[in-house]
Amino acid sequence: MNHVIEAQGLTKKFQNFEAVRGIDFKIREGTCFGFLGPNGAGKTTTISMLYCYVTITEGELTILGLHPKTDERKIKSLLGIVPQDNNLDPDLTVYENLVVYARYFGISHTQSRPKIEELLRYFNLSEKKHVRITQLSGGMRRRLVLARAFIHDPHIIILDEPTTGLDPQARHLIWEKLENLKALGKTFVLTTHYMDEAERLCDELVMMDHGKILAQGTPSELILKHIGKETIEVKVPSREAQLILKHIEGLPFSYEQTEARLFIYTHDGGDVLKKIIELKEYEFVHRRSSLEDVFLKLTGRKLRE
Amino acid sequence: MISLKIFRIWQRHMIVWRKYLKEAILGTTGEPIIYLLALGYGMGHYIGDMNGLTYIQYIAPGLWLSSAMGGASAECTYGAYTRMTTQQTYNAILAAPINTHEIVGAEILFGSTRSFINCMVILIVFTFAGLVKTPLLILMPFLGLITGVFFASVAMTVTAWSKGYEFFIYYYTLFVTPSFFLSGIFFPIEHFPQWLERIALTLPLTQMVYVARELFIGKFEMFSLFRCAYVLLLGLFFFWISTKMIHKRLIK
Repeated sequence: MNHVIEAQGLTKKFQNFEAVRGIDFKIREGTCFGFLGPNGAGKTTTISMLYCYVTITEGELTILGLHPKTDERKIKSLLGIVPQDNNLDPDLTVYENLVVYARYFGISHTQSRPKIEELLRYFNLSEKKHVRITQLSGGMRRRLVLARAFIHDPHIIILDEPTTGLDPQARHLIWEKLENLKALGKTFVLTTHYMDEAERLCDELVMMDHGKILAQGTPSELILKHIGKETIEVKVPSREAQLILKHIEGLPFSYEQTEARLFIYTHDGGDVLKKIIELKEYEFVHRRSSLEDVFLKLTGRKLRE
Repeated sequence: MISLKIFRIWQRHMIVWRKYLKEAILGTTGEPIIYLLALGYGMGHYIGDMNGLTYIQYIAPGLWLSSAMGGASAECTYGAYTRMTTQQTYNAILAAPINTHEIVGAEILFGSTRSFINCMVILIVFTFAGLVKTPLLILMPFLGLITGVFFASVAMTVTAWSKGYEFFIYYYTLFVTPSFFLSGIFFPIEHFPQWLERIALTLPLTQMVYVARELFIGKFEMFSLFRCAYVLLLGLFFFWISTKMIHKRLIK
């Protein structure tokens, strides 16, 4: 399959800090590519360079073979953007928002009308057609921003934290819609800090922190490579953790320790589990490893504010 | 660099404007009309004739144009700033194949459209009030448009630099109010001390009021074209500056 986006040594320096530090990635056509990372990792800056909202300091970037410096207009006409903040027009109704936005792409009202009706139906917004934005719920606004991004039938859709702040129902509805659209062959580029979202939607992803890519692969590749298939989470104060570690010494595992928990990562939990049961003293959970484990292992558990 | 997309953004502004039609027109034409009535009849009684005109006739052309100044200024300060910051309208537009020059161009086009409409409304009001004595006054909305281009461009420059709504106090106190009182709307500026007269003469509104007053008495001189060109060129200069500044502010 073709690569629709390629970046090499992509760097962004703001006045006094380097937000993106020379990253490389390639995004295949028809896939969903995710940028994961804690707040301030450089995800939004990276995807903003894709749609020419942030200029590139150094490095190479091509989008469908086009260069942001010279082909800004062409690139933007091929991309659909779902920004982090809903920047819908609060003075306009749902329908007007789409009419106006279509015009920005050179699509007249007569041309856009059937497409708008279709999008409103698809995103369950038909009933709210003539309602002002201020009267919509968070989930509806988000769906409208999504509908807006599809108004000109873009090749690539860029989603910056598409479901942040939504309730579970709204998130699942959006995921379903996005999955259906992906099946139609659209390429998605996504940023998120929800691991369940990334696991569900992304075919491939990179984990970023401090402007650098820490790991890259499919969700299951990343889990196998950095964590192992299974995780055993033992509730144990840190001073006693050594006891357990001593007890399971010699078995293949890696671990991570927090104040009240010990995380044991392994490809086959059976033997470790037996040993821990022998100790009889500790509460534990034995579960499949998840992207969240990879994420926390790679980016650390310190708060990001 | 600038494409017809400007009109697509302008259309967006017009849709919103239509929703607040009454408020928008009242806000910027109501004030000049009240000034006209209060000063024209009130002060006019004591002043008598001015250069062969009743006082109300003397101040009408300038107040007429002041509605153009008001319309463009309001739109390109508070309006534009809200779109740029709170509402994030510019960010939304920038995701489409449109650049910052076109966004600023559309603001100025829309600001001056409001000036044009304000002058049109006053034309209708004045016609009914019997103040319109010559067909030349049909040109007033176009003088309003030129005035609007200038004030919209200066206002956009201030908006580009503004860090909050409070910053517009500089624009209104240091520029709009002096323009209103020093550009010969209410009295001839020839009687100012020389230094003040010089300042007043450089004010674009002074030049436009001059042209308007001539139209009012049914005169149109070639030199008026130079006055209009001066104001328009200054407007284009500020358009250029504001475009640079807005670009720098939005595209990191």
